[in-house]
Amino acid sequence: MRKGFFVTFEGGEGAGKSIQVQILASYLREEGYKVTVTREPGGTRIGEQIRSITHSQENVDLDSKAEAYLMAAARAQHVAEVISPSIDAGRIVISDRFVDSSIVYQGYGRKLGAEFISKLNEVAVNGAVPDVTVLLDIPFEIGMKRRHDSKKSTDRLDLQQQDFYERVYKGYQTLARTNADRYVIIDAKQSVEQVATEIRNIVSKKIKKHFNNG
Amino acid sequence: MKQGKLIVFEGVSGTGKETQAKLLQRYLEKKHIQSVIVYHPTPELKELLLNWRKQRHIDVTTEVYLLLADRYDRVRQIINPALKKGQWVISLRNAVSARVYQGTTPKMRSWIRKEFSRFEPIPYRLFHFTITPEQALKRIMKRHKKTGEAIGKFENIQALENKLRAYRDVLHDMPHISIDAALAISTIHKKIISSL
Repeated sequence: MRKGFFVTFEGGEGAGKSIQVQILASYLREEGYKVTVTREPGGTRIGEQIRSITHSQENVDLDSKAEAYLMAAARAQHVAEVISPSIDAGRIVISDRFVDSSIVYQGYGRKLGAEFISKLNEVAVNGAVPDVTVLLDIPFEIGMKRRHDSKKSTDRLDLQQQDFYERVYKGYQTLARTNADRYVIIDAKQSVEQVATEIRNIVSKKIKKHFNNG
Repeated sequence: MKQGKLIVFEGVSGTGKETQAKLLQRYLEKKHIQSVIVYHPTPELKELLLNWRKQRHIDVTTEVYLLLADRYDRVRQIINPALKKGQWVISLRNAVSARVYQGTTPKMRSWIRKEFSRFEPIPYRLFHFTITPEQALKRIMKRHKKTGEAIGKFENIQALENKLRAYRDVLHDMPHISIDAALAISTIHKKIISSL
């Protein structure tokens, strides 16, 4: 069977990733593709249990390196249990966040170093490099405002400083530049419909090319 | 203040590591040296791994990262502060176990070594408790009957043989002292204190 296709969504808080993942998945399913939708942190039972540790209000003082190991643990399970088997089965996998989130949030945001996080995750990723990464680009002030207007509960990440989010924003820009072959930057200030249309046009073109040329 | 010392006891289960750790602690106490016994993995993670192997098909790579998080935390919160205060730390297992039990390929083993070496202090003494697989299994079953301690996935003759071979490979290029676990408890204890 022909190998599947791997799409990841990245971006700061309030960029609208989860809704765009749902819209793209619906479109691709209607086009007749077999689609697996997943997310990080989480994506597996083990991953969800780890997520509840790293996102708990009680763990505000969780050491950032310990957090990096836990995130890598969840990711290794996610790749082994969900992502790799689905890609091997020829499916399209859409993941709401993947390893780039760790590089950006922990490497740049928490200053552990992009190189350190990237190296630490190599074994966890196990060759599952995305074919396309959609970066929903939104200035962090707007993202934070959207986030606070919505009814989602405030978790640990929201309590951190503004300069943390600035580093995250710059981290994404750097990753997009250094991985220009797979990164697609979408202006997420636009309406949900406009963003969805742009994503659909770009991603479906790449998917058609991938499956037609094998 | 004088820096404390890290002592590591390694070896398959049923070799009497815990008994010797307690004897060593008592010996140090008489010498007015405070000591801490730590477990790798922590009992909390050990239980979690047993459950997740049974119920969730945990991936071996996931296990390694969890062991890293667990040990990193233990080193930062307990081992390093104790050593700094001049206390001795007796660690039942360390990264050697991760390489033996989770290092399914040579590549995996060297990766595990590299990751742990970022934070794991080098032991002052590393003791390897050796035993035949038959003896090990006999002891494990005895303990299981006595205390109800769960039988792990590595605890059968074939798996134990593989683990004993893996220990030899992993320890080959590491300074360590081998201890024949079949000897009497008091004999082993004497051997250990004479090696300090």
